[in-house]
Amino acid sequence: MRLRSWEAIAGAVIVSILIGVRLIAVFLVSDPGALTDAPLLGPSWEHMLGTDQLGRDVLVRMVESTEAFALPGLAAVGAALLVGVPLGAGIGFWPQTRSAALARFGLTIVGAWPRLVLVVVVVAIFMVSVSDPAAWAGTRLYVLALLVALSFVPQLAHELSEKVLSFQREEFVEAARAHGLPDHRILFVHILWANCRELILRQICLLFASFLLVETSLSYLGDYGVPPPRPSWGNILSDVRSQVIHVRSLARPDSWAPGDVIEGLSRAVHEGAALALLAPTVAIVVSIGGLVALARHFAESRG
Amino acid sequence: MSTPLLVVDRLSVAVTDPLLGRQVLVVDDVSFTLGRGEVVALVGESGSGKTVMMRSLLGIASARPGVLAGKATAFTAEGEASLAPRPPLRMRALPSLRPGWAGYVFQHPLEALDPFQTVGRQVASSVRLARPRASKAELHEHAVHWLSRVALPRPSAVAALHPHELSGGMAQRVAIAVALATEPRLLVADEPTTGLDWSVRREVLDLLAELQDQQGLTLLLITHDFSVVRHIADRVLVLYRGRLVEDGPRSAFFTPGPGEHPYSRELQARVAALEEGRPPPPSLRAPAGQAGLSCPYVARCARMAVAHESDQERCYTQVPDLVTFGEAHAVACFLSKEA
Amino acid sequence: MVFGALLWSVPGASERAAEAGAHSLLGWVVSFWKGVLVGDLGRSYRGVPVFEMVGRGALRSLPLIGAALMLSLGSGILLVIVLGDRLGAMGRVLRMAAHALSLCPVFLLGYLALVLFAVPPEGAGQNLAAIAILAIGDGMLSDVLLGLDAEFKRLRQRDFVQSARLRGSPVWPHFVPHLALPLAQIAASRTAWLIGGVLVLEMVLGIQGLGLIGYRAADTADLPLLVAITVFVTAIVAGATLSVDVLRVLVDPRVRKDRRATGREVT
Repeated sequence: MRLRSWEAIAGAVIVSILIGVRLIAVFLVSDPGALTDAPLLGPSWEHMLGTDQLGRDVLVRMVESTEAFALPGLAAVGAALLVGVPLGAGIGFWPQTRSAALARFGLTIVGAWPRLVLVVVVVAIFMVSVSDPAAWAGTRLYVLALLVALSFVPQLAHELSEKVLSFQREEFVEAARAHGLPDHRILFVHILWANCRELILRQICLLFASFLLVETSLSYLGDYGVPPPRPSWGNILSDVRSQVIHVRSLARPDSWAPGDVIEGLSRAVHEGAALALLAPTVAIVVSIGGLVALARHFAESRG
Repeated sequence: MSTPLLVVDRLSVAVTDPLLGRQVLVVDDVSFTLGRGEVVALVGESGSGKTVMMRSLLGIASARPGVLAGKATAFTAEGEASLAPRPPLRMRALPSLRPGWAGYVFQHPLEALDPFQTVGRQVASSVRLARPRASKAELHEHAVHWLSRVALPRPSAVAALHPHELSGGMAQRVAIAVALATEPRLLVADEPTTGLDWSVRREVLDLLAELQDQQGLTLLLITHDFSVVRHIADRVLVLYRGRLVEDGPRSAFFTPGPGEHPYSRELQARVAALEEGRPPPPSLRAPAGQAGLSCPYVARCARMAVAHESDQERCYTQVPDLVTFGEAHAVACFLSKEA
Repeated sequence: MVFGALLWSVPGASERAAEAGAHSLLGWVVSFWKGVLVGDLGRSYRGVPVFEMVGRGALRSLPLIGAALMLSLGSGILLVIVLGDRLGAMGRVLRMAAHALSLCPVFLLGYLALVLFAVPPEGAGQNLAAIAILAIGDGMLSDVLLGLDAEFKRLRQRDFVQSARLRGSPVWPHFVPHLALPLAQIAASRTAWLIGGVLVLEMVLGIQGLGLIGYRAADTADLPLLVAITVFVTAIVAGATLSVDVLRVLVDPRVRKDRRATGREVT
C-alpha cells in the first residue's frame, strides 16, 4: 500500500514540475538561440547548466524544449478523447450492433500497427507530398500529435468499452432505465463520469508519456521531429553527441579509486558537454516516469 | 473418548477490506474439536466466515488474509503436528504432515478442476500421493476405481473426458474423487450441494455419507442448506459474523428452547418458512452493539425483546463465550439456559 | 482470426501509391501481388531489386526482434514466476530497477550505449547491445513484467491450483499450459511494439536493418520499397496474432472440442 502512494505522489510532483517549467518557459524572455561567445562552458552562475557547442545556454534550451510537447501533447490528448471516448462508450454500450462490430474491426487493424512505424510512415508521406517541408515545421508537431493520438485510440476505446460493458450488467443501469431516464446521454454521464473517470485519466497520462517518447525520439533522429534551431530534449542530445564522445575520453579515470572517478567526472562536467547530455536524459526519463507513475496510481485506485 | 482429529484453538483471521482500507476480523476467536469419524456441519449465512476459516486452516485461503492468529493441531496416524496457519500462496506442501491428509471439495466443481487436463489424469495425480511408487498403469487403474466409487457410470470413459464435458453433478463427483484419492483423514466439503438439482443433491449427500462410513473419514460440511444438516450431520457448528455461537449435536441444534442460540432459531425459522412457501419472518433491527465489546448478534436477537434490562445491558457490554450445557453442547449466549 | 487474413490485403498501401500519383490503383495492386508470388517486387528507385533489399533488411532485423522477445519474456518469467515472492526486499528492488530502466526510450538507451559505452559499429557487441536495449526500452520490459505478474497472480488464485497445493501435488503441470497462452499473447502484442523500437534503434546505432532501409525509403520517397516494407511489417504483425489464435486451438481443449462436438455445452 505504501509503495502505491509514494509512487502517486512522485508522479504528481513530477507532472506539476513539468507544468511549472512550461509556464516559466512561456514567460521566459531569454532567447534559446542566443549565441554567446563561449561554447561548451561548464556550469556557472550565468549559465547554470553550461553552454552547448554553439554557445547557447543549455538550461534555457532545456526549458524551452517543453514547448515541443506541451501544446501538441494536449492536442493529442484532446484528439484522442474526442475520438476515443465516444467510440469506446458506444461500443461498450451497444455491443451487439453492426456498427460496434465494424468499429471494433477498424480499431483492431489500427491497433495492431506499431506506433512508431505508423507515425513515421505517415509523416514521411506528409513530408513528401508537401512542397516545402521546412516551412511546415510547426504544424508537423501537431501532425505528430494527431498520429500518436490516432494510434492510441484503439487502446483507449478498447479499455473503455470493456469497462462500460461491465457496467451494463450492473443493477443500477437497469434501475436507471426503469426510472425512465430519458436520454442515453444521461446514462453516459452516470457511467462515464462517475466510474470511468479514472480509466480516462490513466489513459491520458499514458498518452502524454507516449507522445513525449515519440517526440523526443523523432527529434533526436532528425527530420521528423522538431527541427533545429528550435530546441527539444531529443535534439539537444543529438547536437552534443560528438562532444560527449570526446568528453568521455577525458572523463576516464586513471584508476577506479573513488577519488579518481570523481575527479574524472568533474573534469567531464566542466568540459560542458556532460551536462548537456545529463540534463535531457534525466528530464526525459523522469518525465516519462512521472507520467507513468501517475497513470499507475489511477489504475490502482480502481480497486 | 478417542483422540480427536483436529483441535482448533482460538483461531482468528483478519482480512484487509479494500473499501474500508483496514483489517476486518472475518474469523473471531474460534475454537472447536473434530473427532475421528464425525460428520460435522458448519452452518451460517453468507459472509459468516465459514469458507475463510476452513481454507485458512488448510493453508489455501483465496484472498490474502492480513493476519492469522491462534493455532490448530492435527493428530494423524503419523503423529501430531501443529498447523500454524501460514501465509497463503507459498508454493510448498504442508510441513510435517503427510500431504493430502486433508481433502477439500471446492464450491464450484468446474473451477476446482483443471480445464486443460483430463479427469483421469487429475484423479491419478491424487492417487500418486497416496501411492508414490505406483506405475502409470496402476495409477490409471486406481483413478478409474475411484471414479466408480463416486458412482460415476462408465468410469473408464469418463476418465478420458475433460471437465467441461461433464454435467454439474458429474463434475462434483469427480472433485470428490480427486479429494478422496489421496486417502485423507479429513474431508472438507464447501457447499457441496449448491447449484445442483434437487435429486442430484440427495445423491451427492448419500454418496458423501457412504464414503465417510467406508473410509472412516471425518467429514466437515460447510453449508447453509439445512437439508444437508438434517440428512447426515452428527454435529453442528454455527458461525455468526466470524464467531462460533453454537456447537452441539444435531438433536440439540434442532430442539427449540432456552438451550439453543437465538441465531440458530432464526436460521431454522427462515428455512422452515422458505420450505413451506411462507414469507420469511421479519428480521429484527435493534441498535447494534460495539464490535468487540458486545454480543455480535445483539441487533437481531429475538431474546433481547423479552429480556430484563439488566440482562440486555450485559449483552450490550460483554462478549459471550461458549458455555457448555448438557451433552457436549455449547452455546455462546448470556440468555441461554440449560434446557 | 479472420482479420488476420484481411490485414494481408493492406488497403492502406494502395492508398499511398495513389496519393503519390502513381499508376492506376487496381492495376497496381494486381501487379504487386503478382510480384509477390513470383518473388519480384520491382526495383527500388535506386535500381536494386526490392525483394532483395527487403530480404536483406529482414535478415538483419528479425533475429534482433526475436532475440529481444525471448530475452524480455525470459527475464520476465525468471523475475515473476520462478523467483516470485522468494527474493523479498531484494526482489522488489530488482523489479523497481527493471521498471525504471524500462522507462527510457529506446533511442536514449541506444544513444547512451553509443556515447558512454562505445558500442562498436559492427559485430557481436553491437548485436548484444541492440537485443538488450530492445528487450528493455520503451517500456517493453515493464509491460512484460506487469502482464506476467497479473497472469501469474490470477492463476495462483484458481481453485484447481489451490487444490493441488493442498494435496501436495506438484503445481507446475498446472501452470505451464495455462501460462503458455498468455505468454504468447504478450509476445504477439509486444512484437508490434518491438518493430517500432527496432526502427529507431537501427537509426541510432546504424544497423542496416529493415528499419533503416525503410526510413531511407521514406526519406527519398522510394515508393516500391516503402510499400513492400509496409506490407512486410503488416504481415509479421498479422502472423504473430494469428499464431496466438492457432496456439489457442492447439492448447485449450475446450476450444478444440467445441469445434468437433455437437456443441453440447453442459454445465
